[in-house]
Amino acid sequence: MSVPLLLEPRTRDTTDALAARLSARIARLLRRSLHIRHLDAGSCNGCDWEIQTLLGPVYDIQRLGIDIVASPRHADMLLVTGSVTRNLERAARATYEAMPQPGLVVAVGACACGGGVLHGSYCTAGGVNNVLPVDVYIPGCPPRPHALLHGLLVALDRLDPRIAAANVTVDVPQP
Amino acid sequence: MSHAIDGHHDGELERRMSNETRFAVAPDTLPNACLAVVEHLNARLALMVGEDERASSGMFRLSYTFAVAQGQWLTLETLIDPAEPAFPSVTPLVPAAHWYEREVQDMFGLTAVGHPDPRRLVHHDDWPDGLHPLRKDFDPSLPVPRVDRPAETFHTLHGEGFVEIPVGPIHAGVIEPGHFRFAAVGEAVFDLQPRLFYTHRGIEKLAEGKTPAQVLQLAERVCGACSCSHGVSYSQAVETLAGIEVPPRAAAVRTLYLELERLYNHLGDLGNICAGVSFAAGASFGAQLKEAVQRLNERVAGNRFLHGVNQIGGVRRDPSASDLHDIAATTTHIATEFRSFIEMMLSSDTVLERLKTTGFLPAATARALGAVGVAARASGVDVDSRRDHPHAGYPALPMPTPVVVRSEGDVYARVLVRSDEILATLAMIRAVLDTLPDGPAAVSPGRVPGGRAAFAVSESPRGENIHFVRTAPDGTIERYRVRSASYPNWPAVAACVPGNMVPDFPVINKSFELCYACLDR
Amino acid sequence: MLNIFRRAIRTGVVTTGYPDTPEPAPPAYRGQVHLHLAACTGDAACARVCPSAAISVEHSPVGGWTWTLDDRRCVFCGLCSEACPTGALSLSNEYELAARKPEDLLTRVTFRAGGTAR
Ligand code: SF4
Ligand code: SF4
Repeated sequence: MSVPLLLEPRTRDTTDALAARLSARIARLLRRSLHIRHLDAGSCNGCDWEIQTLLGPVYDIQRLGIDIVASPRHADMLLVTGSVTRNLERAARATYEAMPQPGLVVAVGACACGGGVLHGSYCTAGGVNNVLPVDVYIPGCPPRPHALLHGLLVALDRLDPRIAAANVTVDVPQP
Repeated sequence: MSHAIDGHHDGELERRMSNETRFAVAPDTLPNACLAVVEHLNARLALMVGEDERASSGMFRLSYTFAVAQGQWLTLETLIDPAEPAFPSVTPLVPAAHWYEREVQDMFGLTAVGHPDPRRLVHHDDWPDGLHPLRKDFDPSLPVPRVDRPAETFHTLHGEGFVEIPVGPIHAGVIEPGHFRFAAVGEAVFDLQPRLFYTHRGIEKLAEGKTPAQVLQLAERVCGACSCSHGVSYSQAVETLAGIEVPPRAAAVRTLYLELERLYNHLGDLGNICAGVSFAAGASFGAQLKEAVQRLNERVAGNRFLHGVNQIGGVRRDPSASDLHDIAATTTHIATEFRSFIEMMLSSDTVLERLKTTGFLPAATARALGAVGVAARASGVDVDSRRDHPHAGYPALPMPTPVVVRSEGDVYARVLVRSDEILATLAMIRAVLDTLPDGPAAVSPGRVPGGRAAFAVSESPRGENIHFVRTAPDGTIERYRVRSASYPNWPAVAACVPGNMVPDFPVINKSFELCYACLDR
Repeated sequence: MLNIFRRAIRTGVVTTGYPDTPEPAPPAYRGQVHLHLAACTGDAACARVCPSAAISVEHSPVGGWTWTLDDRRCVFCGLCSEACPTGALSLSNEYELAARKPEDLLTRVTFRAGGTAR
């Protein structure tokens, strides 16, 4: 939280509604074919290993038209793990800048989504959305491979995201 | 023992752990005292902890801990006056101290006078001078500005034919971030300088002021792939300082989880080494076996990386009879599959060609750097904390811990050590299942006493993980230090790459299978 | 070479059918935290133990309280459910939690004082 960002957080130059439409449009365009660049922004390795597992024979994301590529310049999506450490912020931004636009950013794991157990550290940004615009959040520590697949397909509009979680009111007796 | 450091010590200190002897030394005699311990006791520097005690004793404390005889530690401690924040560097006499002392410079602002390579280690170039996060007066909630300082991180080599190849921090594969500067002549690497600590997350500072149970969650997340081992090391450190004895069943179950962790890591590593030499079938079979163990972890412990299996005082996840049955059946199946996998891998000439003589780490280098784990054992250094510093349920097993040592020191030797260890691990899992005692799986830790310190070790798939804990008077954590197996091993990678081809670097790196996250913390 | 083929054929297909065939997480899996509304007393033990500050419990000056869970931060450790004195929390098997907006990952329950029934 206390890391002074190099610049203001990257945001898309649009209003919220427009951003949502844009993101839906990207998803439609990419639907059947998606190239991902993984970006480790300070993870503990757990989330990374699960992403690696997606490439293996058991989950085999290539069957879904998804692949991991070697350079952000070839990517449609950044899959970001870790809460963006001070020492990686510059590299994370550079990676984002190198990705052709429009592109998606997906935050993987508690660290990337909101800082996780590291919230309050002097050298992390407390989540990817404090540095880059995030399109989809995949909670978990780490998210199991199925959850990652689910999240990726949500980003592609091939599965439904979770929407507006419970906002419940309960009446309790006056103390 | 005291003979060896005669004339150097100012006196033996009160014991804080039954297996540790502590001596206070004056700062100026510290280097020679350390050298005497290393030379006369054939000891290995295992841990160095800096502490800011200005609030209580008015001083900074440095403790150098050596692994001496079987199961014994020897610690030399020295106090440093904040008015003169410097100490004579031990590194010229004991090279294994090099990173520890650079880290203390960064984190506490204590200068290691005479250090041959005093560059920054944890902080990168834009961290301001004079700001040291582990000092107690550093306020983690205040922003730390980025400053424009001259870059000091790399030595440069000049000369005809030298090419400098910068790689990282963001790599082409799904791996962790680190920056490597190769100086190459043609294809041959002449020099390799890593810059690490990109994933430095400030875990040690973050732990300060938290409760022991909360810090366990941090400990497990120091490294995703050695989560269980970090959890065990940390829990044992707290149990030691609180005088808690874990029940026999808890110790045995910890052993079970530690070995499951070794199993999935080693299987995955062998698969990755296949990937590193482009042997796709091997990579795929390796991944499949690793997945089978991780699914087993999830069925038994609720998490594929064994997060949350430990608690202070025992284990949180006591496997039921059907879990134990599941473990037995799955590991039996894996044993058969593994035999055919390793036979396939090692009967392929294209694989062997790439592995043999690649990434040679001489035994003397491994020793001088204090290397641990598979990396050390494959270079003829006979260390394994499961045997040397008995922990968890290892002493209670009906068999001695099989320690696999080879002398070749190349990638091939590291592959063979792993493959033999997988067989040993499968046998140990069997043994735990056959002898698992009944009874409670945890005792309540009660209130953790304040003002005490202890450290503990466990053997992760990468080697010895040491966690040091000191509690504040109110029982929260005052100082937490994690020295993972990757810490002493990283310099060994840098030392063994020169002389190899650039394209062999990935497979050398994978054969060490070091972790950036637990190094950087 | 032949060996490799033989092995591959013997192994067969190991790839999962997910997401076309649902694959529930095993019973031991620790997924999303669920609050059992009838059991919550606003004790806030969960918020105190949570290592990642994912839960907050805010008491209102007029009685009642608001319990909030942020799934973006939760690390699924289960400390909250162990700490709750009334057993109001449990870790479910749910893992398909991906969302597009941070708000969608917030669960907020308002316990309003003054009612009679729960
Ligand atoms: S979310 Fe959990 S598994 Fe992922 S990087 Fe953070 S601590 Fe590691
Ligand atoms: S499971 Fe752990 S991280 Fe999640 S809300 Fe409960 S205590 Fe917090």
